[in-house]
Amino acid sequence: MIYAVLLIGLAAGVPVALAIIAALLVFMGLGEAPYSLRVVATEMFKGMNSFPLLAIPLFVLAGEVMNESGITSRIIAFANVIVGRLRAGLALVNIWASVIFAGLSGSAVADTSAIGRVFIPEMEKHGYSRPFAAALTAASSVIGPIIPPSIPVIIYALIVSGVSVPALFLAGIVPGILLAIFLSVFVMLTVKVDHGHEAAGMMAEPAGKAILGGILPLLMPVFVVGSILLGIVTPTEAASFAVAYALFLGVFVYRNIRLTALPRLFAEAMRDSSVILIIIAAVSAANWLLTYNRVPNMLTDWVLTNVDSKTAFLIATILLFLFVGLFLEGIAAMLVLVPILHPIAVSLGVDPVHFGILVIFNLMIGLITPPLGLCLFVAEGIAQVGMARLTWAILPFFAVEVLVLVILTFVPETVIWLPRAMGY
Amino acid sequence: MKTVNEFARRLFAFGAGLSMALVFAIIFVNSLRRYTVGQSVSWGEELPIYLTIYGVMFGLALAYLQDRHIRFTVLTDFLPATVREKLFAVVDVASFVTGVALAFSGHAFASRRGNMDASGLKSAGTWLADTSGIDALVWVAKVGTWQYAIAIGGALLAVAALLKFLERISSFKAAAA
Repeated sequence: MIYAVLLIGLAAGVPVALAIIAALLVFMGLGEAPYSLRVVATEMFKGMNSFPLLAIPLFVLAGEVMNESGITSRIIAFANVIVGRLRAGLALVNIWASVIFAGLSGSAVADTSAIGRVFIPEMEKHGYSRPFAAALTAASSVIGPIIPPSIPVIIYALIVSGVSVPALFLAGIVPGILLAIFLSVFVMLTVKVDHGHEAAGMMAEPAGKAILGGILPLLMPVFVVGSILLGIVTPTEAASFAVAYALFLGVFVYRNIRLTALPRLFAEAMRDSSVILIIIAAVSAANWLLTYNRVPNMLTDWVLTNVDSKTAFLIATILLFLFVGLFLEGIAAMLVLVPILHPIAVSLGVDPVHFGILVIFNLMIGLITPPLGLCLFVAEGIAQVGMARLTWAILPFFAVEVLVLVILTFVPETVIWLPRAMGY
Repeated sequence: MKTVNEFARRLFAFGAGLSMALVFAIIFVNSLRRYTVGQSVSWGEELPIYLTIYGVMFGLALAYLQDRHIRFTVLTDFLPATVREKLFAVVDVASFVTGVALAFSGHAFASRRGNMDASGLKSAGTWLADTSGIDALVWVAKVGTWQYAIAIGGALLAVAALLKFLERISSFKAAAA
C-alpha cells in the first residue's frame, strides 16, 4: 500500500516530499499501534530539530545575497583572466567560474542558473553549439556541492555520527579540482571552435581590475571554510558570518542590493531551503518506519554475508548510487541509503571520510542524468534545446565524471590526503 | 481569485522571510556575543531551530504555490498539455488531502506532550510573562507552541494546494470560453 501510494504519487508529479509524506500518512493512518498518524509529525519534527541543519538555510541565503549583489559577472571576469586565453577559453572560463562559484554557494542548481544565463548565449555566439554549452554548464555545476562549503556535506555529517564537517570539507577540495581539471582537458582536446583569444573579448575589463573585483567575493569561502577548519566556529555560525559578509558586500560595497529587497531575499532563501528541508523531514519519518522494521539491519546482514571484499562493495555502491541517482533526488537518496551503507563500509575497512565524499560525488553526478537531473532541467530551461538533445550532449561529460569517480574510489589518497595532512 | 492567491503568496512569503531574518539575526548576534564578550543567550540555539521549522512550513506552502518543489516529471512531460494540466489538478487535490492529514498528525503530536517546557526557552518564557504581565507568554517556553508548526504547515499546504487547484480550474474555464 505504502509503495503504491508513493509510486503513483511520484509518477503523477506529486512533489517528492509530499509523495513520501502522503504514503506515510496513509500507512500510519490505516495501521495498528505502534503506527499512528501522530508518528509522521513527530518524526518530521525530530528530523528538523537540529542546530547544525540551520547551516543549510543560512548558506542558501548567503548564496542568494551573493547572486543579487552581482558577483557572477565578477567571478566570470576573474576566471577569464586566469584561463580565458587558453584553447577553448570560453569553455574553460565556464568550468573554472563554477569552481569559484562552488566556494560561494555550494549549490549546483544555483551555479547552473547563474552561470548558464551568461554563458550559454555567449558560448553560442563564439561558435559552440547550444546543447554543448548547456551540457558543459550543467556538468561543471556538479563541482559546486563537492568543493566547500557544501550542503550535502553538512547533511552527510548529520546522518553519520563520528565524521566531522571540517574533515569532509577538506576532503572535497581535491576531488572538486580534479573534476575541473578533467573537464578542462576534455574540452581542450575536443573543442575546435574557440582558440582562446576571443574569450578575452567577453569581458573587456583590464586584468588587474578583474582580479581585484574577484578578490572580495573570494574572501568569503576562504574566511568561512578557514574558520570552520581552524575550529573557531561551527558550520552554522560560519554560515551566519557568510550571510553578514555577503550583505555587507551587496549593500555597502557593490551597492547592488537595496534594503527594500531584503524581505524578498529572506523569503526566497527560506522557500528554497524548505524544498530541501521538507525532504529531510519526510525521509526522517520514512527512516523511522524502516528502522522500526529492522530493514537496515537486515540489509546490512545480507550485504556482509554476500560481499566480503572492500573493492566489490565499493563497485556495488557506485553502481547503486548511479542507478538511484537517476530516479531519486540526491539528498533523499543520501538520507535513505547512507544510514544503511555507512556501517557496512566502515566494517569493511573503508575510511568514513572517503566513503562520504564518494557518496556525495556519486549523487551529484545524478544532477546531470535524466530523468531527475535538476541541473539538466535548469540548463534546458535556459538553453531550450530539448531534453533529448541535451541528454545526448551531456553523455561525454557524464563519462568524464564517472572516470573521476572511479579514480577517487580506487585511489583513496585523492580524497583523504588533504584532511590527513591537516591533522583530521 | 488572483487577489486571494496574491494575498496567500504574500502571507506565506512573510512567514518564511520573517523566520529566515530572525534565524539569521539570532545566530549571528549570538555567535558575535560568544566570540566577543564570551557570553551567549540560553535560547540562542533552540529558538532558531523552532523558528526554522515554522519557516519551513511557510516555505513549503509558498513553494507549492509557486511550483518550486522537486517533482518527478519524466512521465508527465510525455502527456499532452491539457491532460497534464488536468493531472496536476488531481495532484493538487491529493496535496490538499495530504495537507489536511498532516495538520491532524501535527495536532495529535503537539497535543500529546505539548505542555512540557522547552529547556532552553524556560527562563525566557517566564521572564517575558513576568515582565509583561501577560501570563500567556509563558507558552513561548512550551514545546507544544513550536511542535504545532507541523499542524500549521499542514493547514498552509492544504490552503496552497486548494488555491492552486482553483487557479487551474479557472484557467481551464478561461481556455474553454
